[in-house]
Amino acid sequence: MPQNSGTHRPIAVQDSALTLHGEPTAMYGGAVHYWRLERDRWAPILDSVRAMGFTMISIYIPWEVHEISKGRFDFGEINPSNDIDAFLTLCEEKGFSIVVRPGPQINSELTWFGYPKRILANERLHARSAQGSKVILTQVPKPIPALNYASEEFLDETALWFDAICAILAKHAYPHGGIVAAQVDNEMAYFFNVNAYAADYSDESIAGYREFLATKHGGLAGINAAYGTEHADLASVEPPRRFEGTTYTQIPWYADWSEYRERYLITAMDRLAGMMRERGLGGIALFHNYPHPLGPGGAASGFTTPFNLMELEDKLDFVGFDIYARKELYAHVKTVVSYVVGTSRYPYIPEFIAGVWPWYLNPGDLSDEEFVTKAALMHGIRGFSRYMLVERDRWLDSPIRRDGRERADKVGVFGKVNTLLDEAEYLRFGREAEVLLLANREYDRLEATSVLISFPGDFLETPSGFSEYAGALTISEDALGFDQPVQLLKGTWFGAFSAALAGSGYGSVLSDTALRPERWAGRKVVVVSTLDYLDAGLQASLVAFAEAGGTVVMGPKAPTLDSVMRPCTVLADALAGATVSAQGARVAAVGSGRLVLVSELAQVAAVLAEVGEAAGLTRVTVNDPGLDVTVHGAGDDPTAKLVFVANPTAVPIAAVVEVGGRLGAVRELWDGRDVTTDGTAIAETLAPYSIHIYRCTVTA
Amino acid sequence: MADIDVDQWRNAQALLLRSAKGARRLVVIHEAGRVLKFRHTHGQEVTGRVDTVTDPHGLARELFDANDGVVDFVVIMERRAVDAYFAQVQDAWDIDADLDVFVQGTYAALDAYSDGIVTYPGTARDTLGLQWRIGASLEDVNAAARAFVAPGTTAILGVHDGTSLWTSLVLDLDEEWKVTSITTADPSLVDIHGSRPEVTDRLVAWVEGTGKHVSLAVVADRAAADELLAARGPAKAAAFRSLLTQGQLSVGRAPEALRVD
Repeated sequence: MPQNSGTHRPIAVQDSALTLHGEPTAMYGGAVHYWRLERDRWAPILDSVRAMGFTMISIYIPWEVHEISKGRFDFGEINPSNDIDAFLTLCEEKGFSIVVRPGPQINSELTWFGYPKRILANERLHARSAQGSKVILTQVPKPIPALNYASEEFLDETALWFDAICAILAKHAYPHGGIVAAQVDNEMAYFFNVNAYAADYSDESIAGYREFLATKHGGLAGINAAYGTEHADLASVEPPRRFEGTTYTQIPWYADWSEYRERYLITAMDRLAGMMRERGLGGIALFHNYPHPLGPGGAASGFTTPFNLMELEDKLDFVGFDIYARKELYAHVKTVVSYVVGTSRYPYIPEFIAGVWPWYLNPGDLSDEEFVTKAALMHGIRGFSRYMLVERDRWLDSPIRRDGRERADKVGVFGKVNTLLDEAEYLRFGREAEVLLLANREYDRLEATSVLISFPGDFLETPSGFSEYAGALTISEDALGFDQPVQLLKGTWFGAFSAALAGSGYGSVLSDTALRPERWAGRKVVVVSTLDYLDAGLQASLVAFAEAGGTVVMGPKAPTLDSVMRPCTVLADALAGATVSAQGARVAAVGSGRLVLVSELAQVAAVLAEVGEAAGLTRVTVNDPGLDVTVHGAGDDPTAKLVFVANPTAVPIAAVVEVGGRLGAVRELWDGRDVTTDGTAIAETLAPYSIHIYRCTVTA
Repeated sequence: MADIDVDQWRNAQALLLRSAKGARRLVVIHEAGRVLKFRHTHGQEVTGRVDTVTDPHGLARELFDANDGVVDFVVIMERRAVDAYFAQVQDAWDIDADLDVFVQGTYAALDAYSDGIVTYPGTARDTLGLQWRIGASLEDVNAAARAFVAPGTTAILGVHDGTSLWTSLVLDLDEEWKVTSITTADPSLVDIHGSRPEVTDRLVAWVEGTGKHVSLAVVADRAAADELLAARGPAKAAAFRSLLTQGQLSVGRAPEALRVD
């Protein structure tokens, strides 16, 4: 368990902030790779970083670079640039807080992804595909095999590295030094082999799978009951290796494999975090960065399975997703940030766009970085680490060149962001979102395992040509005995709810059904796709939310089965006395709240508008559907607002925005302009791909 | 890969690479002939839906013709063949093999699954993934490097657009003609504005000012670059000479074989 509450650690996560001795600290930082820099460059480069207004340095620490031979390490005795102890001391002297990322995997565009070559050469440590093959990530400059994180031998090898590096890091851990947080591994996702049948079918993983099933279902009898099987012993229970489903009674078997793949990653990180705590890092925050879902493309379910942010935060202090995107992918940035904000106890972006990974096709530039930065702030991130602040081999176009010279335009924008965050008192504010949209993880698990072809992860566009993530292009269309295929329909409905909310003017954030119901508190409306089956506990929780005064919007069906396909009509029963609303939804009063079932896609937007009005939600109105708006409120002053207005389109928009109250003083913070209004609306033209940030006084 | 100018890098990608990922594809997935997926990558309506696949090559051609203008190519994949293909290429991994060798192997292996992974127009090997748009095979490129670049030296290849350099690659080669460093002209260190011959001369002087020896430096106009890349086989050499004669290429350094008096 993370020691993030109820302990005496000086570091904690409270109210969406990292606190040191109870005081929130701003985590606006960036990555500097000490071992890639001449040692005499360290100090002036850190000075440049400080001059941009960054207060934190994020440091990858490469096992690959430091290990000379098994159990022997160079920490500056051979190569002065490898003196991590000295670099940490220098960061402290310059007043930075520090985040360390010692792996064991760090990628960092290193030849061996951060591991010593001998680790990758050891076939006993390799993950296995459903076909029994190796699992290879095609990356530059060397393809590498995915490793088996269920292997005790791998963890023993990692322990040797942690013994050496943690001894140094512990000396610098807060309050003795500047290290406030450490990342556990990096972008753990089966080395980007997220496809359900890509990994890991190693013997150790299969054993873990059976253990997981026994725990989940209460032993072999429970497994047989859930699957309708007659296994004589646990060892005869095999995972699915390809999708061959023909009936819905098989869904639990497939979905459990998806769930286990989430658990595999969580278990591995829990073990690694425990090893770090045992070696002196128990007093600082431990966190993880899941990879940016679907690379810079984005998709409806890329943020759920095999990732499980909510359950990983049972083990670590906080978990984020990395973000790299072009400005044209605003929807992707919005989705990822909204999900992290709606789910994580500390919405921090561990890797946040700065410069270019050379193998991205059509790489972006400073205009993308500025727009994506504002978009992420708009949707509510609370901290970030720029990757990379300092350019080097295999990374382009950072604000500081590897020889220490600055790119003036980039330094200007990055510094301006940091100044704005301070002057706007950004952390004093928080997203106002009365609506919570839940992605349905159960259906996402089915989608993941109904994929017809197991495309491997790939950095370089080898012949696979398709996303490794399951999607409409590659999943089965078999209805499995239902009237329509859940694995396809769920995306359609999630998309419809998401689009309708975006156009509704109501503040909303995103999470998924793994988010515990107590975390729904504070939201007035919960929206979730519901089809033929749904976990019995979740059905009960939705009813309970309504009974307590909330509104649940669901659809298109009231489930009649639970997650193991037994009859379960908790929601259907609660809807028994429903009446039909003006917009065609079935509405049932439950306790002091309501259940609302919308059955037709064409009705979704109108029903959500109807629900919002009935629930008394605050609404922002815009004159152009191309615009997007978020409002951030200050808890200590109900009249103080930050209003972000985005034009994520390629054409200018003459915007008129009403924020649901009487406007007083309005100032656009990026350009430092006072804005004259008529007292009800902000009316300004937004250039293509631009975001205005207004500090407003709003009264009812 | 260091000190690369991102604008020139983006332009180089656009000039030299073609990605199948963005292509409009009609995707057919089948299992032993039974069609499980028949879908356009961009969700567009397509005609010619079938439930079974008996002749994947003929079907791919028919579907492409039936959906002219809607698809860039058709891909027909048999599930077990694709699984076997990926298992084969992944098990071929060798920790000491160069990336190029591994990646080339992933493309070459498609030939063994010519009925299971079918594209039209073009073979899977020449259609899927990331393809070079250089009108030459790997063997041709290697032969040209050995013919025109001295071992252990640097080659500069550039494209000029109007009054400034549009893209460039500065490649260091070792004694075996293996590329050891990739970069571009750094606009903060060398002036890339001016006429093509002026910029070419500056690039050579800038690189050689760092202690390297440039044995090949060729900068073409945009149109000339397109023409040169599009030419194939013997026509490429002819195109080079023609463009050089017409003054659409600037040669800062070149072996005797490339000179035009």
